[in-house]
Amino acid sequence: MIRVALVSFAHMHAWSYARALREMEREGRVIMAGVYDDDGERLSKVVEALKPRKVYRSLEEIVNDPVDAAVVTSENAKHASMALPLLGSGKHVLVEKPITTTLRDGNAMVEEARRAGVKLQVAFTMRYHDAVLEVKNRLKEVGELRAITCTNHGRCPFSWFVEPSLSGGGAIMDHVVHVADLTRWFTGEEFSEVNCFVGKGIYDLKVEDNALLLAKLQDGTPVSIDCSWSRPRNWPQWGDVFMRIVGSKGVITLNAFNQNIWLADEKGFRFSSFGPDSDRNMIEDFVRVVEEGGEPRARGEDGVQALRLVLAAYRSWREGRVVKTDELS
Amino acid sequence: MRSLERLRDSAEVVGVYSRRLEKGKAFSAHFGIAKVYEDWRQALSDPSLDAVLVSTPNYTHYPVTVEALRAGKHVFVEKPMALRVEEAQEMEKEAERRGLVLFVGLCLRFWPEYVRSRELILQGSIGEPRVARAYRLKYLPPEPQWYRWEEMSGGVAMDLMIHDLDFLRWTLGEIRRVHALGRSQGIGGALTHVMATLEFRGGEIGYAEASWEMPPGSPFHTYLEVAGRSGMLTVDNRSTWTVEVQGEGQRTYSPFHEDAYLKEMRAFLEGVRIGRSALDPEEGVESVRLGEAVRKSALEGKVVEVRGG
Repeated sequence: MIRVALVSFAHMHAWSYARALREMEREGRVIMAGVYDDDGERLSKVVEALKPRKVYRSLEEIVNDPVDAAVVTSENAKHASMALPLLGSGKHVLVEKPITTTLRDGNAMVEEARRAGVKLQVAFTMRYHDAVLEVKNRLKEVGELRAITCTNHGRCPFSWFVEPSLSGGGAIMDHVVHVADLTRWFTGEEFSEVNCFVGKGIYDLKVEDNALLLAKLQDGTPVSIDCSWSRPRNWPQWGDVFMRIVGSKGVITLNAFNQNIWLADEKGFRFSSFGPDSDRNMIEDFVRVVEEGGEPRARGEDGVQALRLVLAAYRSWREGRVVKTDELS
Repeated sequence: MRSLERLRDSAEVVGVYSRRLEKGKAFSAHFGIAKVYEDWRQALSDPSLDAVLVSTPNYTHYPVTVEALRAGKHVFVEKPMALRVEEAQEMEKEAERRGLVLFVGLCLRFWPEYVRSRELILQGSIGEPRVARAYRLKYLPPEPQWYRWEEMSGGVAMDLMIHDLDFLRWTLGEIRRVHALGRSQGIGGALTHVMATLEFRGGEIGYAEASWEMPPGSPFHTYLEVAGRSGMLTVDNRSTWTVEVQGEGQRTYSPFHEDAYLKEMRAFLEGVRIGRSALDPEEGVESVRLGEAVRKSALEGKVVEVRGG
């Protein structure tokens, strides 16, 4: 049975991954070896809630601990500095999206995993959503690709997400990668160029909270992405992952978070999801590749390619023009 | 025509012209219209007419409207007002010079959910608007053919997206920059699927998508979403139906006793009565300018600055 450490709870997804690991632990399929966080206050909350086997006081301790793998869910800008020593010491790593905030760091992570002979998986959880798999499997039915419309809307996450030194950017950094990754995964095409418009802020933040991207794939297919944190706090749902794929023979639309029960309770009116447990599916896949070998559904390279589009979009915004993705080295 | 029938207290339909005489005759028989013109100039010079409704193919809007104005008739012209800004401006000037009403059929300005959404936005329900989205998706029936030619219809940006471009400009203000990507299907070169991002002068951004590439038979789909600083609204025509018919002719729809077309026609006739159009032709000119900018960006692959925007 493999031993997995949880590294940082900065990203809220960490709680769901911990829950999935706990479930698998109860089923006798994995050992949740311990937890670490570089934020003492956050760490005490984690320790209280999860009562972990072990609490690491430094990253060094994990590096020297005989764990097989680690899940890195820190702030975006710390992904590389936390993942690199772990990869270097032979730990398999599942890193939260985006892989990191610069291409140099992303490439270094991919390279370090290869050198050490370990897996580097990126937490593109959407690849483990049932409706996403259905669309991927049925995609050829729509014929030749004509256009793809994507949205990944959300509420503003605030906290470190809006602090550029920790997040590397706002809504573009946070919300472009999921749908960019699905587009790449579905089509097998890379993005060739992008233009990005960013509007005045919904909130008064140091990062952008809205953006509209219009990109092209290498085969010429146009792709639009709305990554805005435009859902108000009292919207009945956190956000959406939506893709409309128009083909020469038909249209297939993904609305991944549409499985909801309409619920009015003491918290007001909101949606209660009955959708699939993509996080659990992803954690299972990570455990599987660590134990049995093979490749995870989303590798480090996939994280880097999605990040490339993100960084090209930022350049487009700064320079007010269409940017080719190969302009970025 | 159905609207005019219901407005017969304010207007009488004197005659009809169609490029195909048979079609004109069938139309007149169906609606009980006295005259069928054989030539469009003959129709425009009929002294018994006060006003003309121009719903000919897009590329003829400009010459027919100008001719009608020169003959001293008030004109209701279907959108797009013209295929080029210069033509639209000439139409506007012609109407102004002659003191005639020129009304452009931008029907979203009368469409219930769009009118209501705009009211909500202007009364501050969602705070200052920030990000908008609009879809208008349908399939192109095999006839008429002229839609498929870029120089005849202006493509889906000019024919269909123009509704949302006009609505968003009407609601959020002038548009400064446009970036669009488009696809063209089959003969004629008309863009049949267009995706556009918009940057408004006030700092808002918007996304508009219009398509003629939906599978044949699929229901017309429209969607509007506007997120603001303190709220958000969305309306999807697929989820606001009030009548569902199953079996033969299966569809869901949302009937209004007084629908947008009736309100639009009433507004035109009222304009004729008082001698001033309820919808300034300048608005039509600006919608053409936006349609042109979207087409230009899609064809050239560049960000386009909207002149005067």
